[in-house]
This record gives sequence, C-alpha cells and structure tokens, in this order.
Amino acid sequence: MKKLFLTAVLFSVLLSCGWGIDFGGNIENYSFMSNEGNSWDSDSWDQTDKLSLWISLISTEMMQLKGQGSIAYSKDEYDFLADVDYLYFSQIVPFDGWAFSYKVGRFFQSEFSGKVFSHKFDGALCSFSMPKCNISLGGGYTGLLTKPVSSINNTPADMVDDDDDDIYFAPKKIVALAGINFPSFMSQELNLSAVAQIDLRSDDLLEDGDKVSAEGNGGKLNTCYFGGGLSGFLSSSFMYNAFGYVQAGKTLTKGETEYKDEDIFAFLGGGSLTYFNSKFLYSKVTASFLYASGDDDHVTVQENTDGKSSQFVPISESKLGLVFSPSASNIITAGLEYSLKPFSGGKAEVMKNMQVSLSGTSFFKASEGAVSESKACNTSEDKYIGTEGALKINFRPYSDFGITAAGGVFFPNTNSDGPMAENNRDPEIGGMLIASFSF
Amino acid sequence: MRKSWFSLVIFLLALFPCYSQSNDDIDAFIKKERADFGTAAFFALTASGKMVLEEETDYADIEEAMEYIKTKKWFSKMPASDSYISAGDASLLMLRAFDINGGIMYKITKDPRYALREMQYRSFLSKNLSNKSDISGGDFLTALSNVAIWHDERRNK
Repeated sequence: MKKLFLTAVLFSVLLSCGWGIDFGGNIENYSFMSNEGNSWDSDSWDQTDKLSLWISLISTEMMQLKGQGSIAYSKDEYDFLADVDYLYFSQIVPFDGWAFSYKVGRFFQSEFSGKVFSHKFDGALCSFSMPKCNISLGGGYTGLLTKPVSSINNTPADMVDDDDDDIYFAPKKIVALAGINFPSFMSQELNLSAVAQIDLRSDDLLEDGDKVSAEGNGGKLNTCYFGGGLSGFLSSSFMYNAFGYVQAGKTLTKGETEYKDEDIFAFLGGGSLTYFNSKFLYSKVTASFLYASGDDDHVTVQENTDGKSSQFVPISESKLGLVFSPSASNIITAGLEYSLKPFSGGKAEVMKNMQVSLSGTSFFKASEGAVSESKACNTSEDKYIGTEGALKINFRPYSDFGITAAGGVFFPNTNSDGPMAENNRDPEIGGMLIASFSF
Repeated sequence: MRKSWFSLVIFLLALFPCYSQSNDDIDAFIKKERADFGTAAFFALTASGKMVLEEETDYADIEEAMEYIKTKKWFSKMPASDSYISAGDASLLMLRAFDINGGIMYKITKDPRYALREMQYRSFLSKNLSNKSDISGGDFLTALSNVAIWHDERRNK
C-alpha cells in the first residue's frame, strides 16, 4: 500500500511538472508444436499467452520514465508469471555537436552482433553520440530477473538451478559492456566491442584444487569477449555483414585427480551476404555462415574435462534454428534464405506487408565435444549434424496487429557413426505461431 | 539540422507554388518551439490537396482550414486556432488530411493517441513523443513532408 502511495505521489509530481503521459498494452500468444521423440502428444506443444501493460512519462527536457509489467501463462514452463519487463529512466543531454545520454533501471541491452550477449539486466548505460562515432559503456546485474525470462545458463550450477522449481531467479552475474560504433568508416559501419561477465555465485561450488570426489555443482565462469564487425553495401543491391569475437577467461576443469582452473581461448565468427531487389517483389537472398569453436574434451557445453578450453560459450543463448535450435557453441552453420513480399505490387493495402521466406540451414559440429542440443550427443569424427528447411510468413496487416507463422523440418544425419543419438535420427517436424495485438 | 530544414523549405515551396508569402511564413513556423494548431492545420490541408490555394493567402486561409476541420468533425473537441498543437493532434491531423489508414485501434477510436502510434510506427515522428507532448514547428513540417513524400510514392505505384 505504501509503495502504491509513493508511486502515485511520484506520478502526480511528474505530471504537475509538465511531463506527458502515455500508456498502452499488448496481448501476445506464442505456440510451438514439434514431434520431438517421434510422437505427437500433450508434451508436443507449448503455449505462452502474455498480457503486458506499459506506461511512459516524457518531459520536454528529453527525460523519459518507461515501465512495463506483464502477466503470462505458459502451459509448459510455468503456470502464471507476473513480471516487470522493463522499468527505466533515461535522458538525452544535447551539447554543441554531440550528445550524452544515459539510462538507468531494467532494460534490454545487446552487443552489436547479439550472439554474445542479448538480454535484459538491471543496471546503467551511458552513451556519447558524436559526429564520427558513438561510444557506449554500461553494466548490469542479472540475478533479479525471473528464471523463465532468462536465457543465461552457462555453468553447470546454472543448469542445476534451471531444473530446480524452488529457485525463481536467474543466475547471479554482472555483465559489463563497452562499444564503439563508427557509422561511416570508409563508407561502411564498423563496430568494436568488449564484454565481460563476472560470476557472483558462491553456493555449492567447487574450486581449484578440490578433489574429483568432492561434491558440488561445477565452478565459476568468468569470461571476457573482444570483437569487431563490419557491415555495409558492396553495391546498390549487395550488402554484407561480418563479425568475429575472441573469448578469454577461466573455467574449472575436472582433471584425473583434482579440479583445476584452466584458461579459455575460444572464437566466434560469422557473416552474411544479401542480394536485394526491390523491383521484383522486394526479393532478398541471404547466404550466411557462423562458426563457434568447440573443444573435444567438453562433455557438456559448460563442462571441460581436460586442459585448456577452446569451447566458445556465449553469455546469453541465441537460438540458431526453428526445430533444431542449438546455441552458438561448438557449432558451424551454413544457411541460405530467400524472402519476398508477394503482394507488394497489389492494390490491397493490408496484404502489402506480408513477407514469405524459405530457408535452409546445415549444422556441423566444430569439434567432437558437446553442443547445446542433447540430441547430437554422440562423439564422432563425422561432424555433420543435419539440415533444417523452414517456411516462414510474417504478416502485419495493421500497425498494431501482426502474425508470424513458421513451419520446418529437420533432417538429421542418419549415419550410425554420426553425432546424432540413436533415437533422434528420424526427421523432426515443428511449427510456430506468434500473434500480437497492441492497444 | 539546418541543412535538413533548408531541404524542407525547398520541398514545401514546391508544395505551395501559388503562395508568395510561403517562404517567410514557413520560416516563421519552423522557428516556433511550439507549433500552433491553426497554421499546422493550414499546412496539412494544403500539402494534402484538401485545400487549394488560388490566390495570395492571408490569415483568412487559416480560418478556412479551421472551418474545414470543424465541418468534417475530425476532432471531438475542436482546438482553438492559436492553441499549441500536441503530438497526438498533429498526428491525427496528418492521417486525416492524407486519408491514411491506421491500425485497428485507430480505425475504431479515431483517437489522437492511436494516430500518434501510427505516425511512430511509420517513423514519421519520434518515439520519444507522447500523446500530449508539444511539437515544434520544425518537427511538424519535417513529419508533414515525410508523410507527403510517402503518400505520393504509394499513389504513384
């Protein structure tokens, strides 16, 4: 009651100071079906329904207070979840020829590629926008986020907590980010980034020097990532994007007699080339490639068993497929996608924004070690995992209503000496539907 | 910023070929930190072709624009000509003037709040504006020229 009263007072003060107020909401449904395990039953489909309400207070001095709360129902992961999606205060302070801006609270943040860290946290970010470059510095804490909305699980202890229904919050980590963006570096866009994660977990953990017989949920993972990316147009129809990251840090490794902190030196690289033709139904052809290094001695993505680790482990997971969806760790992907807007030349206004895309992605292991998808758990010299084909339709007839429908088939490597587990060598089918309405 | 306003003035002069006072009036409007409803309505209606200029204009044209809006009942409560226009009302004015279809909520309510959402969705106005935020003359004319160009491109497809 006291909190509600204080919030009401704060709002009244801001409104009396001339702040503009706006509010709204969003209803979203997410459904996913797949025949994982070659059967269709009640476990084959997942559904999440979410109602969110937001409020925004804006002042004339370019200050803003924004917040969104939501209540969600999930058939699979949880029953009902009430959460604060974001709540932050931000301001832009213009100077002669440049601007300083800052943001404090809970908000979404990502490094430029989105493959290392792309997640919400509670923290602060400041940016300097100058004519030739933009500099951003920030950091935040992930331990106050609820577990269902977190995709940070990169240590054995994180995985144990993820399966424990009595634990409600995400792993306790501090993430720090620094980035420099040059929007027109020799007519291209150049990004440089440094990201670090500090593991604040202290419970039930093993340490350097503990005997292998000791009980505990693995050790801490402290890592840093240094990367760069270049993107731009090669001609009026061709555009490209290329990026790379080096990961360094320490991971607790299970030796023959005792645990030992070992160095990590891993690599992530990727890129894409896109051909765009607006005259032929906004056709777009994209060829993409991703390499995330692996380690033969990793029994899981998180656990190293011998020597230094070369397994790339991102801070937050980013899914790379629809049906078969590993994270960027010990994986090589090669993909081709074609998309078009089939009704863009028609008269019907609502159909013009429909986009249809057809894609194919092949997956390979980068080493004999583990990938995040347990279906590809076999150790084998054959690195080919399988190929996924997908059809996706994005339809937004109105600015406040949109639907995304996607269907895909994953054809795994059926070779008995291949990386796929014996009971996961049949094709797998999956479908996804997302509908959202804003008000 | 000055460069983009210069391009804007050129664009608007092309929109108002018969208006000999255009340059001075547009310049004066651009300098306003808070745009007034009457002048904004006059520019929106003229740029969209809803009001045609036939001779050298004067203040009477603003009154004509206000009368047009009142007759069409675009606003549930008609703002005064010399009142400051909000971002929401500016959005509603432009969507109405150019007959732009908005989202489902805009179709149902015709409310300035949802008109602004439409303008922000199409990147015609900044996302840092709320329904009741003031809008400067320069920002109004920038949005108006973007809407006019977009409308023209779609009509010619």
